[in-house]
Order: sequence, then C-alpha cells, then structure tokens
Amino acid sequence: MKLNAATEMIPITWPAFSDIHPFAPVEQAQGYVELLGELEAALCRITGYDAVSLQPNAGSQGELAGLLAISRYHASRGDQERNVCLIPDSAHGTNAASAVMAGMRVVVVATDDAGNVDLVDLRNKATEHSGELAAAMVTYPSTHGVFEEGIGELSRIVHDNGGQLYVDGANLNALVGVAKPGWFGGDVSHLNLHKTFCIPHGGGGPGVGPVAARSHLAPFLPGHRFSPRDSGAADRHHR
Amino acid sequence: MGDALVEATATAILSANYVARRIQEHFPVLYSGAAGLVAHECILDLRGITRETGVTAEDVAKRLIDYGFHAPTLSFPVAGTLMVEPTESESLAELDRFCEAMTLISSEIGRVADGTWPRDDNPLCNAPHTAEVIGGDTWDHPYPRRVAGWPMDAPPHGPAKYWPPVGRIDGGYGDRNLVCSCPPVDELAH
Ligand SMILES: Cc1ncc(COP(=O)(O)O)c(C=O)c1O
Repeated sequence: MKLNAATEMIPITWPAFSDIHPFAPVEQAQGYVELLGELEAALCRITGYDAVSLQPNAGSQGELAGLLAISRYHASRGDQERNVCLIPDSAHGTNAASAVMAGMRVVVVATDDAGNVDLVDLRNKATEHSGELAAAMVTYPSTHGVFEEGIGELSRIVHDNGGQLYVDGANLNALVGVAKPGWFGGDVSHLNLHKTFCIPHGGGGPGVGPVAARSHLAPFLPGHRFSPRDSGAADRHHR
Repeated sequence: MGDALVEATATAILSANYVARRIQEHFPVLYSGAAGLVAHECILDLRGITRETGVTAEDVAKRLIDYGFHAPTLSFPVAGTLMVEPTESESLAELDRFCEAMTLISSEIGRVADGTWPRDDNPLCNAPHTAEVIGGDTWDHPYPRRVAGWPMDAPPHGPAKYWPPVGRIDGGYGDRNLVCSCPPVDELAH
C-alpha cells in the first residue's frame, strides 16, 4: 500500500492552495497556472504522451474522459459506428463501467494460463469487429502483476483494425522513469496519481486522475468552457 | 528524469519480487513473467489451501489484522486470492515483518490442516480478535488468548498493537444492505 504520509498531504490544507475560488480571475491565479503547467509538462515527460488534462478527480473519471476522447476522435473522422471496446477479463471493474458510460459496447477478451491477454482471442475479436472497433483497454503492467511481453503485438493488432489503445495507467508506479505508455503503443491513459505519487485518493477530490493522450486525441480531452486556461482543448472543439 | 523517480520505481518492483520470493513456498504466486519475475505486485493463490483446509483468503486477510497489518487487496483481480503491492513505501524491516507474519499464518493453517484446531474454531476463522473478546471473562477456544491477540513476538506488539474495533463482519451483507447511521434531520434542526 502506498504510504501517503501526512506531511505530504498537509499542503492541500494550506489556505494558499485551498482557498482559491475556481473562477478566480486568471491574473490572480498565476501561481496555480504555473503549478498546473509544470505538472502537465512533467506528466507528458513521464508518460510519453503529448497532452494532459488534469480535470478528472480519480482514475475512473479519467477512464471516462479518455474513452470519450476516443469516441469523439472517431466521430470527427466520420467513424461514428466505431463503438466496440475490447477489454480483457482481468480488467478492473471500472474499465467496463466507463466504456458503457461512454456509450461503447464491451467485448470481453480472454486471458491465457500465464495471466496475459490472450493474443489469439484478441486478434479474432479485433478482426471480427474490425469495422466497429473503437478501442482496446488494457492495464500495463497488468492487474495480474506481470509486464505483458505481448504489449507491442497487442498494440499492432488493435491499430491494424482501426482501434485506439487505451492503456489503464493505474500501475504507472511500476513504469515511472523506466517505460512510457505513449511510446509502447498507447494512445491515451489515465494516471491514478494516488497510487503513483503521494496524493489523496480521488473520488470527488481533492485527488486528481489526469488523462494523458497523444496529439491526435488532444483536441478531445476535457477542458473547461469558462476557463481561459483551457488545459485540454475539448473546449475549443465544442465552441 | 529524476533519478529518485527511477529509484522509487525500481524499489517498488524489487519489493514485490522480494515478497513473492520469500512467501511463495507457503503461498503460491499465481502469475509471473517469462523470467519468473512479477511486476510491482503479486497475487498469492489461496484457492488450493481453501479446498484442502477450508481456510479462505478472507480468513488470512482478517488474521493479518491480528498481526498488525492492513490486509492486502482481497479477491481482486482473481477471486479467492490476495494481491500484495508493497510499493516503495515500506522499509525492508517492514517487508520482513510482513513475510514473517505470512509464514506464521501458514503454520497456523498447517494446524487446521492437521486437525490440531477444528475448522470452525481456530485463530483464522475467528479473526480479527477484538480487545473486548480477548479480555472477556470467558474464553473457550482451543488456542490461548495470547495466540489470538499477540501472535507475533516482534515489535510493534505490546503497547503499539493495533486493536480492531469490530470482529468479523459479513462484508457481502453489508455491501448489499445500506444502513444509514446519520441522525434524523429533526435531531439536527434547531
Ligand atoms: C487497474 C485499475 N483501473 C482503474 C482504477 C480506478 O481508479 P480510481 O479508484 O482512482 O477511480 C483502479 C483503482 O483502483 C485500478 O486498479
């Protein structure tokens, strides 16, 4: 269990951090702007992705945001029918729940005896649903506690069939400084930072479950309609 | 990237592999990679033990409370197993203490298996033991109070021992039957 020490949590109680109004004029929130900018840049470096939205409050919210980004990306290309999400049976329950909330249809992929995603089953299902494949959602390293050696192949299969690869970043603690999901095939990931760095758990705050993506998905990440700072750019997309 | 971040990652992975190696002789590690290593967490497979002795993963999780540990993840992602994710937060001394507790728990399971303790009255199925139960006027279990409440001699037992506020609860029932313990609105009105 990650030890989130009290000394690491206390700063969020400091008035300078906690008393600011969410809609304070941006010129009065320069410290925050700098802080968020630095955090986003650091997370891009750590994950190998191009853009980050800090809006989601927990991993599960990041999942929904990431899957919606995938849906909107497909829709922007006229691929509205791409709504199937392949999820291995070892996945965390929130994965399937988020996919359903994002309007996708879940197709379960088997795992093999060694606990890895069964690449034969994945290939069959990806091919079968090739015309409607939106995404595959996998956790790396897996919830079974293994660095799946087939991740590169898995990524190729998904992309060859027109899908996007969602890499669940709940286990980023096993990757920081060593491997980057944006480099080994991921298009988008949420990061459960309470399991990676020492921050409070999310579930409505004050945690954060950032969602990070490659540049083609960046315009579809969440931003805020009324925020001049617009960390993601979904905002621009909707306006 | 900061060397310290790389070191934290490496330590998290090393810690998980250390625990897996030390415990696997007592509790089989369900999955590992081609090189026999795990990533940052390992799944301890209790299902064989449950079949043979009736001791469940939940019993072990609850018994760990008596030993002073917050239990690892129970029955996710595989039902009937425990998932241990030490992260880089724990010192080697704490990892050793955990491995020792698991080793002792394994020998307790052995005493259920060999019939020394009945399947329905042993420190595992009765865990966790509250101070109230151990300090009660009567004690009619086939194992001593000391085994119930202070199963491990190493610190922080003694004054720093953690006492659970309640004994075994029916988790499944609790999940399905919400009981609101807030006072009624009337009581809050002035
Ligand atoms: C693999 C995986 N994915 C997603 C989540 C959901 O994250 P959160 O609890 O921050 O909503 C978890 C959380 O426990 C997880 O383990």
